[in-house]
Amino acid sequence: MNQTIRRLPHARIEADSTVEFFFDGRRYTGKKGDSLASALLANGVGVVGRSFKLHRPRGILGCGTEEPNALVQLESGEYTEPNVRATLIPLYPGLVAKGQNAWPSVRFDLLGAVGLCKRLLPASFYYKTFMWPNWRSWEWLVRRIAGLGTAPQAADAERYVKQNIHADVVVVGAGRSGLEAALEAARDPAKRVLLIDSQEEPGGRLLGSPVPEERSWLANALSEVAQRDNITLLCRTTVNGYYDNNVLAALERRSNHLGPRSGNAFRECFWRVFAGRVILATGAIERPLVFPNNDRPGIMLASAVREYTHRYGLTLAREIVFYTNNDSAWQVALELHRVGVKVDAIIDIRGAVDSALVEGARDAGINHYLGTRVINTKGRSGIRRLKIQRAPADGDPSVQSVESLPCELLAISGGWTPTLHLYSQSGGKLQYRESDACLIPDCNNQNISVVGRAAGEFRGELNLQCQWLTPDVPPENQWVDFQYDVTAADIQLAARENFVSVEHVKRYTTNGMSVDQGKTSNVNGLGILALATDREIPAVGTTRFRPPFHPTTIGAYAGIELGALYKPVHLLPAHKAHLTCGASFDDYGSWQRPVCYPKPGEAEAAAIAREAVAVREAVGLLDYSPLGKLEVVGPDARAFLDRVYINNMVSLKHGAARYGLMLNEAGIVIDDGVVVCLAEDHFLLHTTSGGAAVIHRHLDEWLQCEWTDLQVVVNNCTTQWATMMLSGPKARDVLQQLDCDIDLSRESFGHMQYREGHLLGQRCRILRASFTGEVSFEVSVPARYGQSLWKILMQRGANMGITPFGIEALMLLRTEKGYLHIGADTDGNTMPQDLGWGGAIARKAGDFIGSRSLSLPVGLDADRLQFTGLELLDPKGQTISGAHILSADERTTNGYVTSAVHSPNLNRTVALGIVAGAAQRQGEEVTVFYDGLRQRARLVSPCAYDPEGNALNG
Amino acid sequence: MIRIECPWCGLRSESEFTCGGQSHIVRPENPAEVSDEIWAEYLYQRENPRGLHRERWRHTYGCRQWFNVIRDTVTHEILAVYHMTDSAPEVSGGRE
Amino acid sequence: MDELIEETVLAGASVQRKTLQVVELAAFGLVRLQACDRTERGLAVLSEQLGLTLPGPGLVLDSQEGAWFWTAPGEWLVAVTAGAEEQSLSALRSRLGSEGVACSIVTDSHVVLEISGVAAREVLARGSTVDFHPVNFPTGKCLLTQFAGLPVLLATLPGRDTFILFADRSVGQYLIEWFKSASSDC
Repeated sequence: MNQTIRRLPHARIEADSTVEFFFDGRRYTGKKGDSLASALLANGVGVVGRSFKLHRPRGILGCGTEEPNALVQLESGEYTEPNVRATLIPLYPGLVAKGQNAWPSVRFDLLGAVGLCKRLLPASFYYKTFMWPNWRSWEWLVRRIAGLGTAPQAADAERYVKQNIHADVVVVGAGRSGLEAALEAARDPAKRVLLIDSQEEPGGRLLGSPVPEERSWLANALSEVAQRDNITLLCRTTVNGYYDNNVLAALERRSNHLGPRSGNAFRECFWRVFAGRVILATGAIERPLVFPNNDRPGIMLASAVREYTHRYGLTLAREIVFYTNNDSAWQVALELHRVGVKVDAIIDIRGAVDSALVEGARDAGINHYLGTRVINTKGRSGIRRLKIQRAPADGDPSVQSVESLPCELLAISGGWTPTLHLYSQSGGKLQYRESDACLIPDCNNQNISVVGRAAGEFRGELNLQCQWLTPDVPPENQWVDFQYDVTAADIQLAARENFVSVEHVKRYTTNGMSVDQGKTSNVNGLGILALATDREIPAVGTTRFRPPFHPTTIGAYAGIELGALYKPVHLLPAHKAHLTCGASFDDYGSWQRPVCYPKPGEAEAAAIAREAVAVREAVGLLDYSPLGKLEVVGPDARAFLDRVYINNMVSLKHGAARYGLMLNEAGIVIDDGVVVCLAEDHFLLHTTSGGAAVIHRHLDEWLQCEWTDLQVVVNNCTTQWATMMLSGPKARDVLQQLDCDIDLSRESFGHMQYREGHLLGQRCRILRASFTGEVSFEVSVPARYGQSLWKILMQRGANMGITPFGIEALMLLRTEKGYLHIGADTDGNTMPQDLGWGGAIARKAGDFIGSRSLSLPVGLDADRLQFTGLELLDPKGQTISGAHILSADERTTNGYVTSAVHSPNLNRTVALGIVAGAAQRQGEEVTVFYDGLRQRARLVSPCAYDPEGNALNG
Repeated sequence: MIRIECPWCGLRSESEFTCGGQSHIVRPENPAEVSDEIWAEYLYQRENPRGLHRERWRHTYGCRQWFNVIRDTVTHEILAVYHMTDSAPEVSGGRE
Repeated sequence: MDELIEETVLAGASVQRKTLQVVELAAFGLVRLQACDRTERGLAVLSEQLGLTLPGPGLVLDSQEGAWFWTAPGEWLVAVTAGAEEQSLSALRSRLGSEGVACSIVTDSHVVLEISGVAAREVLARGSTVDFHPVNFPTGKCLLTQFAGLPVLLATLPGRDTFILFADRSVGQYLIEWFKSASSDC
């Protein structure tokens, strides 16, 4: 078993190298240049996997992406990857792989006993067999028996990257046609050509050619590609997606060929390709023939036999037999003979074959059986004998002529399927060509062309005679989809059960639904369905292909956008100072902001309460920098703002501030904030924290799309300023200790006033507004001084008990005061009349955004959810936001709690909510419900703390 | 991902843009005077054609400008790009 | 006596790889100029008042004030010498008259990164879908794009093969982390 087969001299591997690897726990050696598949074959490993459903032993069928059987679990732990095709894994030293879907190993699979129950597992067995008592009772068992590799448990230790690239011409596939197309396109030196190939090296089928002229053509073409400055060649790169406007997605395997811990920064690169024109030179995939027990190890596509022989230099078996319905396999057989590999026989379905081929075979001493079918195969863990049946020469079916042939390797060819997955993804339609029973490109809206075998140009006629399945023998053991164990009988069953649409049959039988997406099975399945439903192939139609062409590592989709880079994070100017103060951070919108500043050993809730009390009793300091700041400038600025806010902005005086509500055109409240008049044509709009970009977009949309005659510009200056909010009875005292040219006294700088001046020698803006209910100074300095200002205020306020406070304390304080928080206390239906602003609307004469919508029937409904305070009757009661207000009959909800906190200043729960008709129901008792608990509460004014507002004017 | 030609910045990826839906919706001149039906139609009634669609997009990650495009909703082909204040040009191709 | 101390966004944080370097540039003061009248006539008047041919999309203009970058129709970002913003602002205002143009200092709202090294174009193309090939992005050009999920202004100064990236100051740290991660192979 461990005896490595000697390689043929013309192989493209390094003959004197030794590469050690492990498969299913055994140690083997291969050569540099091998794939795992070729190395396994070289070591005589015939069984490489077990089938999905029935656990039949399976061997290597193909040599590339089409491989349905040789799926392995590569490596282990944080490096493991399931369902990797052994044909696509370049051998590297120390490679460890395991066969899948078998226990204890693919050679001795105890689950193989499932095969004895095949009758119980027809197509759709999921839906039929496991129905009692229900599917879920069986799922665990089925998943254990049926299945592919094991999903990794550990996080992927490798890193991935995404790269965008533009090209005038993108050629997919660097086989002969692709190389020709790329060199042709590159003749124009101004054209950027990108040539992408999925194999370890470019060349396509030429890599498996023994013909000296073809080999030298390839060498010349590659050296010309290398010389062209305007050709970029990407190898080991599979184009998996073809999207609108010629955007392609490709996956480059950068270090997979080196194995884990290669030292490369990125294992794979996810390319997004922006193409002017695309040329698909994606080649064609050989189809198996469908006959009884055609899935035994040792049955291989003729094209794969060619590749393993000439590219990897393997003599695969002693007794090699070909079975075909077209000329291409004859060429392969003759090529094998030319390099000294003995071919025993060629069996051909066709009664007549080109005389040159027949003579060639005769000269080579190859037996040939024309008009003959394989009707069965024998062998335990691999093929040993063939049963063939000669078609009756005179057409008399009673004449039987059955023979048995020894066979160690059966090379099959049922024709070719142009690889048009990408063409189909791009929106292209396919047409059926009767002569070689294949689908070829038809029409496409994108700038795309298809060349070579992908276009059905096979360089020489195939002279194919179609045979979708073997007639006159049972269909039960005639495999179509090797990966999902679908037989010809399954497709016939689906047809009998009246599934006629090809898309339905695909899903009912699972033909073509496994990880190979039917690369070898789709067309055969289509043919069998056509026969079973007595239709022509074009009438049956084809399934549409979707990305990805080949499975793509999840990590590659993520690229570097993991962990801290998952999405952009905005940091405050004084971020480091908050860290020093012991802040705990959280994401608020896209900003990372302090939640609170817990002392050592202090719980967050306790810290929040402590901070809230400190603001009411002394002074607190909050980094308020994310508060949105938009400057609106221009001769029409005032008129514009009057249309934007429901409030009157015509009378706003220089230096004064006014609270405003902003609606969308449907009348829904989208933002609130303080508007300041800086000059007759210059206003400063404060938006909800983190909402500046959204409101900026809203204003821009109206200026650019509707009121194009208004001369107004909007400047988002949110982050130009670091804004520190001093709040509390001692706020003024703290600020007055700093050198400032603004008169901060109570008399000259009242609530809702704004001043500009200098603080500690730098420009500053100070707004007196309040979201806490206490005297507050929102002090803004250019952001570069933000951290410094924070430190100075903390120092200067120390003797007055200054306490840094976070967002949660701010939210607690504003809830005590019943100050509205848009998005928390409002929902997607809230109109200003629900917030007690009905009067302001009535007083405003002119039109404003959303105005007309407020008087639609929906706006006049008496049962609208309206903003209100909620006072629990039980002074020790608690509730949470999201708790429902029940209707009187308790059958429906009547609204819900939007904010609820335990107030340390009032020592009880304070809650806000939106409740049906609340404005007219003040004082009424309602039932608050959450988590099975009913509590009585009274609808009250939202403001629970200091309703007279004394603190504000202190 | 489609590619859109911003009239100012040139050809860019869809991810740089925001789609604003159907364009050329006329806001009633005197909102206060129109019926509920007309106002609701202005707010909510939108076309959903299989074929040519006139819609507005904003180059959010670029010049922040709104502009109009005519897009074939079947092929995603963009047949025209024009300014917000221009009227829709005649285009050939696509399926109306 | 208290004194406000100026701090840069990144406080010296940078990316230093063999083929890619990213550093914060504190050499610029930034002024944003926005015309309220964006009609052709309005912009012609503006050019006349300033005595400049204001650059259009994608173009950079070198003037006495500094470098002008187009950022939107009727809107430019002017990079002046650091600390000279106030002076430039009043100079501009005096030429423009009082109405119809908004001039604002926006230095503090920006972080400015200089990206250099032979891998610069390749790494930039990991963050944005625009074409960084020298044919399409020669020196002396600027553009606005989505980079690492953020709106940025990218520019190359005439005659220098280094890129300058203008972004919001709040994402400076994020961008440095992004460049570190994206350039692990550089």
